[in-house]
Amino acid sequence: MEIRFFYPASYYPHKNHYQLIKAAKIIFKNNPEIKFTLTIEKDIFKNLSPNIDCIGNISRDKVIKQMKKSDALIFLSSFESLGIPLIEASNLGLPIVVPKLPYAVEILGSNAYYFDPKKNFSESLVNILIKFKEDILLNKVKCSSIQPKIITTDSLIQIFVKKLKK
Amino acid sequence: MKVDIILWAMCINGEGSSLVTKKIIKSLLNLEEKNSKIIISDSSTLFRFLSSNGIIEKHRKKIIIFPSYFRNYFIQIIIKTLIPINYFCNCLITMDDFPFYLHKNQILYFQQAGIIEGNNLRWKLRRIFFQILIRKYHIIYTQTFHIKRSLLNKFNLNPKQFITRLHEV
Repeated sequence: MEIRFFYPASYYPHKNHYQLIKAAKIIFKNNPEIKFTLTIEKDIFKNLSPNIDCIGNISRDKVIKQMKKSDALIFLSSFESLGIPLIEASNLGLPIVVPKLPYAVEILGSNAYYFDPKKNFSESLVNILIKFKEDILLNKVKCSSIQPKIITTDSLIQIFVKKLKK
Repeated sequence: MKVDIILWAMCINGEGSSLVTKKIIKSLLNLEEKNSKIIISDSSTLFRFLSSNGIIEKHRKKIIIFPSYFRNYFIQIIIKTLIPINYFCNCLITMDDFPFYLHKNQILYFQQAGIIEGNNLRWKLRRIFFQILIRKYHIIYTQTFHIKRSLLNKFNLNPKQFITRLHEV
């Protein structure tokens, strides 16, 4: 049984792709069924382990399609103002693996697979990925959902217009 | 001619920020009672998103497109500090990283967490520039409370300056 994680993020240092690649190498030894899809170009990192597929930058529609084909979203950024994939994955009820950082906790509450990024990042990540695999096998997977109330952008523009003086 | 609202998104070029800005632009264009203009730059991700949806074609008179070199940070510093944008609009919504120093009736839509958390030289310079431009009279919109708290801690702002609501993407 294959377990596929999807990480939709462009390549920037704070997105921690390097840590995922380290974790994937460790995981491949004992858990080759765990696989990763990344939206970065193949040639950014050398000697990728066979459980990583780099598909390059894709359109938003394809991001959603890929989420639907995956078992979980993985999102490793060190900082975000929001983290749009968290919202998109939550809308689909997709489980999410994410570092326990304020941007994630505010949106997802307790409905995510958190790991501590301040300890050993890649080791903590490996542990939570294995925990996720165990939950899948036990049929106990925790699906994500958004915690705060969401307003429409039409309502937001109305709020802006009221706030701005004439 | 002075318009009611300018939405300034000249520097928006990232994937996430373009997605959000496209949504905000569509909602602003629905406000038919307001005379508005939207400022973007050529060849940006936002330009691509708006073109592919036919929004630029449909609202050609409302959307002003500057050449891509206007996204250069040195040009932005000059624009944000020296251009008296208040002569062109009553209200201003700024989607870029930095507010206009001179416009007092302005909402800054803050969506660049790197200005708070980023550690490399590029982010540090942006942080300094943000510190110079952000004033107590600006209204700051944040999607999340953790960003509001971080801005309050880092830049000595007033909680009353903030609007914080999560909106659809």
